[in-house]
Amino acid sequence: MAEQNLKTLLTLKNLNIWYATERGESKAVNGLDLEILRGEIFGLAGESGCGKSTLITGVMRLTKLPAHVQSGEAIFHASRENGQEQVVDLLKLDPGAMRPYRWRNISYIPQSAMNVLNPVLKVEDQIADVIRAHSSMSKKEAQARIGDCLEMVGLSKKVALMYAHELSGGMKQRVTIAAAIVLKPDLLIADEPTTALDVNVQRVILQELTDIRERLGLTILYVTHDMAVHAQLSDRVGIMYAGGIMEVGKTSDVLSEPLHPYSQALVEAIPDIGGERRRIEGLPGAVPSPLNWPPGCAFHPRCKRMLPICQEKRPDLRELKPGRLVACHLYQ
Amino acid sequence: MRFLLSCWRTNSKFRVGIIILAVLIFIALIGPIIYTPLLKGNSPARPGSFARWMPPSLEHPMGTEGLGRDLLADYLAGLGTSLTIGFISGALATFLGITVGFFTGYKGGWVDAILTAIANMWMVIPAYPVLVALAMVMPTINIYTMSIVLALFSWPYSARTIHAQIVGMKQLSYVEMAKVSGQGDMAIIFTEIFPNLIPYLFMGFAFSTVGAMVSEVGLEAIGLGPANIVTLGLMINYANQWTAYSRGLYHLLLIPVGLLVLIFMSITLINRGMEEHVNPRLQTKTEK
Amino acid sequence: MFKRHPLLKYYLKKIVTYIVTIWGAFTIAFFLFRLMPSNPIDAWVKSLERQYSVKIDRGSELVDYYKEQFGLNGTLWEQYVRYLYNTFVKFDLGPSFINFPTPVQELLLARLPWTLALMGISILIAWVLGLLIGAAAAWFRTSPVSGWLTNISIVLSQIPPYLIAIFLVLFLGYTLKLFPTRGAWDAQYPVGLNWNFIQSVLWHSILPASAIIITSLAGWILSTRSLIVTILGEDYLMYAEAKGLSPWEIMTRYALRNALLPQTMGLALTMGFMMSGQLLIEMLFVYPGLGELMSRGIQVFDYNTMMGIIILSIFSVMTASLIVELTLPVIDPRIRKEIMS
Ligand SMILES: Nc1ncnc2c1ncn2[C@@H]1O[C@H](COP(=O)(O)OP(=O)(O)OP(=O)(O)O)[C@@H](O)[C@H]1O
Ligand SMILES: [Mg+2]
Repeated sequence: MAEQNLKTLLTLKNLNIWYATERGESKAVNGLDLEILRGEIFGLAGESGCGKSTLITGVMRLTKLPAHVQSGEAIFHASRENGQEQVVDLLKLDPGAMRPYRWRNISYIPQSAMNVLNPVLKVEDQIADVIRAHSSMSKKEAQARIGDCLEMVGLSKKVALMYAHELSGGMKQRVTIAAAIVLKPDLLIADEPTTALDVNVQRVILQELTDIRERLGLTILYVTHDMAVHAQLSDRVGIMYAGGIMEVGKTSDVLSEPLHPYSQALVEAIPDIGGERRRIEGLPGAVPSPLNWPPGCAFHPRCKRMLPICQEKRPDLRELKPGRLVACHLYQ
Repeated sequence: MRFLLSCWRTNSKFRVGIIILAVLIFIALIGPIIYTPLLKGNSPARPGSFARWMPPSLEHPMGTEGLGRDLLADYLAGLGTSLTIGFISGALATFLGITVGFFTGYKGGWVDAILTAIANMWMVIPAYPVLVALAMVMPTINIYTMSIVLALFSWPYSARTIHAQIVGMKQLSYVEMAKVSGQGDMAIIFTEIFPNLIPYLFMGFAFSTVGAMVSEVGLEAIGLGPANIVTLGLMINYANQWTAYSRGLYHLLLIPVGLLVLIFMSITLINRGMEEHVNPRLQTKTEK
Repeated sequence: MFKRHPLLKYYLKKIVTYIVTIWGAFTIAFFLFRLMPSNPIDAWVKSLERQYSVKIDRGSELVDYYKEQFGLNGTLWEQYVRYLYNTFVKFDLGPSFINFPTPVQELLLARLPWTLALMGISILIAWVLGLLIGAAAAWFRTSPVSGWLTNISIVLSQIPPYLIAIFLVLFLGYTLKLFPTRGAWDAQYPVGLNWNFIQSVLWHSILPASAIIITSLAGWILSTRSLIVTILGEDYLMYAEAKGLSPWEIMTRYALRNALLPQTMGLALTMGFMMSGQLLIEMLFVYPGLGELMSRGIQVFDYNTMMGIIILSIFSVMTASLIVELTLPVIDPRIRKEIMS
């Protein structure tokens, strides 16, 4: 896929999402910049606790107290029915004004599908309500569409008539995927949709997601700590640490030649697909607390190649060569 | 104790409830000091100690009532007995409930099945008619017999709560761990289970106390309590008998009802405070 | 067979529990009364003796005749078996003492409609209002109004209805003279289906009904609020919001709908308890329902009438909860699953 033809879909600028805690603001997402292009699968990687889910709920405008969007922009290029593009800053919208963009333009596969289905409604009803809310499809069309989507994720049409408790974990996750593609949104955000599943199911679901992307031309923001998954799935990856992006580039480039010292440690630690979350070897110290990030580059206390400036100034995310961005003083 | 302290520190409902209750208990405790000199050696319950319907004066700060008793003494003594009955009966019911709940919840099996079945049978019998009948035929009824009778009808509730808690806790991993590691039942109960139950014990106690007082006032208010003990319920009954409303003697009714409402309110606030402390989701505090 | 039909096993178990519990409660109540050191005949004889200052021979034929009429002859065990048989096989609760020789079941039947209408309608009104107000309080849970509403409900829910009733009588009945405080209708109108009578009945029911509504409303507000607050924190609600459903749809189809099930069960159980729960209110307002019947029965220690009321109450509580338990697996797929596994 030729990058220069791809248009921007979502740009995050200097995004800050904090949790108000008793001991002060916990800066889970801390001055984050990111650009996602139309049509790609963008992989967001990073250790547990680095702020991936917080980032997503922020973009989806689902932050609940104590989390709150402190500042930043999320410029989204929404496609409208007439084929035009509409540019909005999602974070500036009133809560009510966000609604038309939900699911039509941005849909979501949650981190754990265990409890996201309403236990007293049938699967069909829970997908149909979103169709009813955002499109003018007739009931018949909607039913047919739900059946198609279920089949696309490898489920039988009969699942439409079942309740959540009649489904296995993998089936529930597939239902959420089917629900997420039912309106062919511009952007599908998937927050570690496969972590709760066993390796085989995981592999099949990833394959299905790739197929779906081909067929529907979606853009997918795929979040997982698992670099092996990114290797299989993502066109580009962004490496996240301490609430910010450290490095962005084509997946193959980042994996074969990681630039940021943190990415290097991360890539070295890649286990087999679906393997246990392994502690990143060779990194001294613990992940710092978001209550109190280290000054300068947040990674400096654990960095093997630290420079004096790293303690003082936070490095910008800079484009080294086309399509390759790094936030590290070593390259600036 | 640590639990109560941390409730006090974190929950304003709990604090308000405790303060109101403490004031009421204090008044009830110093009550005899105030009314003993007023009564000139009579007991508060004795009718005809003085002339009837005397207006307030230095000797009788609130006047006397239709049976020639000092009204202030009536209320002070009534507050004390009502609280005493509530607490004794609450403690008894909680004790019975804990014992049964503990035993059945922890042991399980057929002992559990039988005791639970009996508790259920007991619970569906409407307590009121039986209580009223008992109150009528008890040859000598005093604060203690009254408390026992009331406790007999409220223990299944605390038994149920404790039972459910224990059954839930038994499945917790740390209890299983203790079992696997070969600790005895008693050791497990006292080291692993009991400490976690303390909040529920206090809640059960508060609940049973309110329950007992509600029934007590109910019995008295319709005139079926013992007439030889002054309680707030009895005062309500007298106020009704003397047709306090139509004579415009509203305070005869408002004072005992108000005191009772204060008691119920304070215990309810305490209970709710403890509940919120254990389960912060219930909190009504408005978020910022 | 049960292995293959877990649902059947569940139903059978519930029905057996139903029968055993009714029998057990009946037995406990029976012996509680019989073991009390009094009985209607003795009480009556005593009161006659006191009234006329005479001595009545306890062994006289007349006393024996009445004892037999009331099922008090023979050993305690014989009395029990006879009573059990009469109650559950012949549906005969024996003659009443307060209204001799009218059978107790006839007295109960005459009073039942009043209790059912007053209590049933009040409880239903309180339930509907409580559900709506509680849902609103949960939805706007961060607003101070909701906080105050909850605090007031917490206090109100624990104050016994009769204290509220006393307040209502005092202020609305006597001081402001807005509503009647005694009886169920105005004696000047003939009983029947005429407008004046019905109007008078409604008018008389306002105070007792308000007393019941106020206290039970507070309870429903609290339970609905905490249920819905819990539901609002569930993952599926956040998901519904992510789907961009309207707040109204989220509230009705996701939050309220999921709260409706437990609350309907609660309503059924409350209806079961209503026979015995509000007896005092009836006594206070001299309302011609079961409560007032009981207060008359108790004064002369009328075993049969008291037992009749107790049995009716046991029966309605148990039947309500049996209905709940039998319908639960039909309407809630989760519970069905639990039973099946
Ligand atoms: N309710 C909260 N209050 C305070 N801090 C929170 C809260 N929830 C999350 N955090 C903090 O925010 C940071 C980011 O959390 P987040 O859930 O976004 O991580 P994540 O990258 O999605 O991790 P995972 O891979 O485990 O899902 C964590 O350090 C966590 O401590
Ligand atoms: Mg996450």
